[in-house]
Amino acid sequence: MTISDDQIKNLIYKSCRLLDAEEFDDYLDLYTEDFEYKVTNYSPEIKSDQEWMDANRAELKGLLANVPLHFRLLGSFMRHATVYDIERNGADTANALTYVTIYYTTPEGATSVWAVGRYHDKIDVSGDTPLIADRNMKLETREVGIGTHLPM
Amino acid sequence: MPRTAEEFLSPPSVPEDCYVSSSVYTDPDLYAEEEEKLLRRTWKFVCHVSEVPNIGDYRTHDWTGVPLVTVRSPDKKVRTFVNSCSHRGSRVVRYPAGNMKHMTCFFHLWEYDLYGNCTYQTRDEGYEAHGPTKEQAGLREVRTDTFCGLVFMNFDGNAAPLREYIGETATAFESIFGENDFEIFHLNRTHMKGNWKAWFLTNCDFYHEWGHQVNRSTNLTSPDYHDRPWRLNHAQGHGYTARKLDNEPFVVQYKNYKGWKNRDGLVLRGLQPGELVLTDLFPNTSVFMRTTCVRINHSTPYGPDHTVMEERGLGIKGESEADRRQRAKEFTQVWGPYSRNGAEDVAFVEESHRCQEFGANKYDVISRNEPIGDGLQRPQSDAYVRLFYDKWGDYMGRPANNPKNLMTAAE
Repeated sequence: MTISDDQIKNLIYKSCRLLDAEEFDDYLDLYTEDFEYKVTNYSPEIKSDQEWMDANRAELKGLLANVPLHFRLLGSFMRHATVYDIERNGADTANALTYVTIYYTTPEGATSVWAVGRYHDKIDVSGDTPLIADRNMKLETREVGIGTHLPM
Repeated sequence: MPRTAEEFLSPPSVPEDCYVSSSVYTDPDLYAEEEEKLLRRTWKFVCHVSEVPNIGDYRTHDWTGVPLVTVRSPDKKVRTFVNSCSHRGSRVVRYPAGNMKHMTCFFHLWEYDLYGNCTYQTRDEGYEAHGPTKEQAGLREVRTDTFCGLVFMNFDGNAAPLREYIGETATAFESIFGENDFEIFHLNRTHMKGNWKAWFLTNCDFYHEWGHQVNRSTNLTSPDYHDRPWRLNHAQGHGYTARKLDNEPFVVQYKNYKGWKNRDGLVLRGLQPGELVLTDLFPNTSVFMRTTCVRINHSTPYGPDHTVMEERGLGIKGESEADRRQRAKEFTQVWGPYSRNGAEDVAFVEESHRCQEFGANKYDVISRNEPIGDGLQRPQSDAYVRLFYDKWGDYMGRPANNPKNLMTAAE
């Protein structure tokens, strides 16, 4: 069965919704077993790319399990995503480029833009449902206030 | 028992060196005085030498509101200049980092060489009558020196040399920096609504480790956590914690945080697996050596309640891509805006500031006393914080517990 572009888009949008809702187990189910997750950006200060989060399944699962035990930024995130491009790499994988804006809302209800960036996803389309094999959230925004424990 | 209004406004019932007035974090006049008496008279961390490895490499930065540019000159010495054109004061170099052959002001195209000499004035015949000549119009050079690859600057031409300023505290990191050829791989900046001292002292306050889930699970579970003494440099106001009294390393139990493993590989020369060393240099630079990577933390204040924290990660120059990735991963597990601790420390400072700003908290209590023997204190004591404010009082001529009153000569 061929995975359609719409199925890939729905997978990416679902990843945003599940993270917004902090449904972490279901979020991890969207990834392959051996996925790699990164948050990266280009630093003009050091004139190179840098990684701000780099996690495999065990590490991301451990982090998300620990989130309730961490001292956390109060409030919520809302991810607004638009899939711009999907390219097939043979029968088993596809690359997807998604522009993402993340809004942050305080407990008092004030909303601001937290960050903008792009998901560079490698999608496994070899099975019945698509899965995210690698995600690189490449940030444009490098100043994010107090920061967050959560993947973007 | 809750306190009455009178009790709330009164100093805490502890010795005078064991509390600080919250006004040291919020008062604009005190901050202005700090700029003049302290921040412009002490050594300020600028960058790591790997940020300016080649002739013409530069970094721009600010200190006490003054824009600066630090550049490697053709004689390979690293120099710092006030980044303001001698003509009409525009910033000459505007990008955070780069490489340049000379510095050209965008406004009227005056030009400076990498030694700060003015080498070109557009239509210079217009200055023949009244000046200034090019010889009179060089950039203001600021004293700059390096130690262990760390670049520092000081506005005060009469201050003690950098090496003398660091003093015996060099013991904490001199050998580690001497044995490893470091280069920068991480930099992040955070604007915070809080005071620069509160940020720095969070780095020096091991008692706050109870607030971090990472530290609760990896440090506080370590049997020897409480056995490292503060090594205080009373002359300069620095401090560090490294090995225990028996000279054995304190080993962080990373495996106790779900999903992590102990750090047994890629260990920096001079450290043991899992070892953690922390150095705090007065007034606001911290150097952490956490087994596989180094973190340099520094802040730039822009007022009593606006601080820009800057955090750097160092790895080994020329290492493989796989090693660098692992090192960077271990750095960002703990530090950085998407890390476990980085996303917590800034909030600690901002939450405190929120209460200090309008008087909901009148005094900071710094009375923890945890002797470990030999006149030394355990890491979670406030020994370093008290030393910091003692030094702060020396520079300011005011006690931190009552800073609106000047010290008497006897004090």
